[in-house]
Amino acid sequence: MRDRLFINVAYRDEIDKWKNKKILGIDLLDTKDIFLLAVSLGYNNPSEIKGKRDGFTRTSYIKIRDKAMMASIALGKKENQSSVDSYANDDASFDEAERCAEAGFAILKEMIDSANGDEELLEKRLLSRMNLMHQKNMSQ
Amino acid sequence: MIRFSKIEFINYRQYKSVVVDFSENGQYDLHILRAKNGTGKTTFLNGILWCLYSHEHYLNDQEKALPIVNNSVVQSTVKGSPISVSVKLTLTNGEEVIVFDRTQIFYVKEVGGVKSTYEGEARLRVLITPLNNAANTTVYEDELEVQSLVKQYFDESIYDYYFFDGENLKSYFAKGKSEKIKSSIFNIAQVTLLSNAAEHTRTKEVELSRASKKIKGDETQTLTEEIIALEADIAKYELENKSIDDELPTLKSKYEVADRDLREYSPIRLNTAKRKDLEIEIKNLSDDLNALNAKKKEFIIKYLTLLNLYPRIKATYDLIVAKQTAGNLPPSIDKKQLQHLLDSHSKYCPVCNGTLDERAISHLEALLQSLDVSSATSNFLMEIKGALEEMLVECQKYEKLRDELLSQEKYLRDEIAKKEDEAARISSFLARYSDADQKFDVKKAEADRQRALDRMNSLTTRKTLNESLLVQLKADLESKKQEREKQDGKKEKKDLFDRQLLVYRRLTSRFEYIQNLIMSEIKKDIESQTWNRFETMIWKKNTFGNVTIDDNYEISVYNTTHNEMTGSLSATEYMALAYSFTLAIHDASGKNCPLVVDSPLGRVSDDNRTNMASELLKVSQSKQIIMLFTPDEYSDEVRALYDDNAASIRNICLSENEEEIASIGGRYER
Repeated sequence: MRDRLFINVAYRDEIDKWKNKKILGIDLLDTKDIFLLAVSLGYNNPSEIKGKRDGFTRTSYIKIRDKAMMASIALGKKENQSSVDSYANDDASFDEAERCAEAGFAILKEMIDSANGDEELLEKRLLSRMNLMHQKNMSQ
Repeated sequence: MIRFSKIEFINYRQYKSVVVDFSENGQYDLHILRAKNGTGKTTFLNGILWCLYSHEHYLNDQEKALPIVNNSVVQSTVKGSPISVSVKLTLTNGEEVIVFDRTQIFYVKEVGGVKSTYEGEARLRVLITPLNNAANTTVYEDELEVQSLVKQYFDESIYDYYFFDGENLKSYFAKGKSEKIKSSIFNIAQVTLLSNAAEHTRTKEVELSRASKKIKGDETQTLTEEIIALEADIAKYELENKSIDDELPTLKSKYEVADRDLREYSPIRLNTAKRKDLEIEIKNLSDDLNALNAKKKEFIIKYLTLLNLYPRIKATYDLIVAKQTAGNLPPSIDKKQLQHLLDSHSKYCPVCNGTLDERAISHLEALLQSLDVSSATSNFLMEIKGALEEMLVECQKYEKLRDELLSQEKYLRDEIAKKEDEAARISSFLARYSDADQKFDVKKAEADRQRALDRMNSLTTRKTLNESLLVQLKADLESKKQEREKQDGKKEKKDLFDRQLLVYRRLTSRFEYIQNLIMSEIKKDIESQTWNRFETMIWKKNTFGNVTIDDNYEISVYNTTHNEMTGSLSATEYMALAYSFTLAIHDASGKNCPLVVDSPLGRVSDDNRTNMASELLKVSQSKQIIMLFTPDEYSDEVRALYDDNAASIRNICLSENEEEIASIGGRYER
């Protein structure tokens, strides 16, 4: 099994900026949680890491709950359910999670930048988004 | 001195089996071969050229010529049999014997009773044997090595300056020839080495210049300016915070004094005590709100992740449950082991040791088909199932938790606002308070207290803002410093490239200078030798002024009044010029190679013939000259000079059937 998960080195600088500005309390989060947030934002449009890769979080910190989240990306996809053997393992999950995070960090950056430093506005927008997703997904 | 000691021909045209020996004999290394026209003078010359270059340069029409294999040999050889044609040149240079040996195989074919040949394998090899160690012969067969040795002795680009055809002088000064001479002299004089070195340094110059241009050097300056600006900002904010820190205790003390005085003044004691309680409550509520905000952020991150992934989490969970319900988790038999059993083509079952016949194998294959997942997959799915279920339950709690958070936030904000209003009302009352006693100036104390409090709040807010800015500025500073370090490395590299570039430029310039110097010396030498020899060979002593050779090795002859007259030279003068130039080039080469001349005096008449023959005889004291004459050309004047002096004089005679050389020798051989 791999010993770490990678992200695009360009996003490492962005994350440091967010931490310095204490945006969304990211400065208090574990790197794996930041990674998983990006994964969840980008899982619909995964893309290969463009440019230099940077080791972001150690896989030894990944708990069963985190593993379940990452595995669900491929296993929860309808077209993959006939070949479960190929996706029900850590390596396949981690590979896919890295691709999702690449897209997710771009979305997160766009959200943070568009709030222009107004933390309250950012929180409001995120809550609206969450309400919308809750309404859409949980009512099914 | 390099000289031919022997030339051997086998089955080469009319030279069916001929060995011509060129032993030294007397003070002149001059060898005369006499033959009637059509006997094989030019063939002799072509034989040497074929051996060295595999081309017969003096053949009138290569395409329409007979094959080089001797015709009588072809006719007497059985169809399909090979015939070997070879020419072997044996030379000596005083230290070594050098043999150029070319062999070409031909096969006889017969069509309609007419025999002809087709070419088979061919090779040229060079054998070099030291004169003092005859047993130590080095054989060169590699094509590149062999070509290099040929070029070293008889560069093909100027072959006609070694193997001279007196009847074909026009080509000597033809356009384009000078370029070949120049390049050959470059090669001969080893100037090519310098030229190659200059070319190499020029290439390095281009590479270094490109590499240097790629590194942009002005970024260091910009970064340094940015770093200075950032450092100035940091210093400014740190200074401001320090001054805030200095001011705050004084303000606090002022505030505390005013606050205490107000609280101790009995007519307003109830109001001030109430306000104090309110302020404590507001602080506690604010702390709660801050804690709630942190919780809210945590909630946002957690549920943003969970709700985004909810559809996949739910689908995965449902998948696992469905497989469990279908009895596929865990699988009854391990899928991988079953696959391994089928792939290994084992004859016996590893469980019951029964024979695995076709029926058993079909059963196993059907079983494999029916198995949904492997044991590893099953374990993995079972491991994550609990976590997935837990997340789904958490998602169900979203609305409740969100509402609790938001309502708690609202409650805290409302409470704070209420308490702040109440405290503000008391403050307003105190600010306007007056009593008849005027024992204590409440208004002033309240104003002092409020002023100190406002200032403290303003400074504390300012300090918090500054601290947040400082974190960002320090991070920017660190990043800029790292960037500048990288740029410094690049700048060092660029400086190194520029220094190397300068060194290579100097080298190129020196190489070119030395190259030009050598070429200029050689040119001057060739010019003066050509003129001296030309002057000796020509009977006219008052017509020609000088001979010049320009940088492109184009030769020009001038009269005594400095007018060019190259185009007006007679055939004799033209030949003299060709000889003079050829011998000058031989001298410049530093390799004293032999000169083989067909029709050496064919176009020369009158007094010039004696002059030229005499001059060539003199030359043969230090250079081997082989001359191929027709009997007519070997006139009385020539005979008078050469008969007693030449090292050998031979006749070339054809056989009766005119298909081969019958003999080379006769009464002229000394």
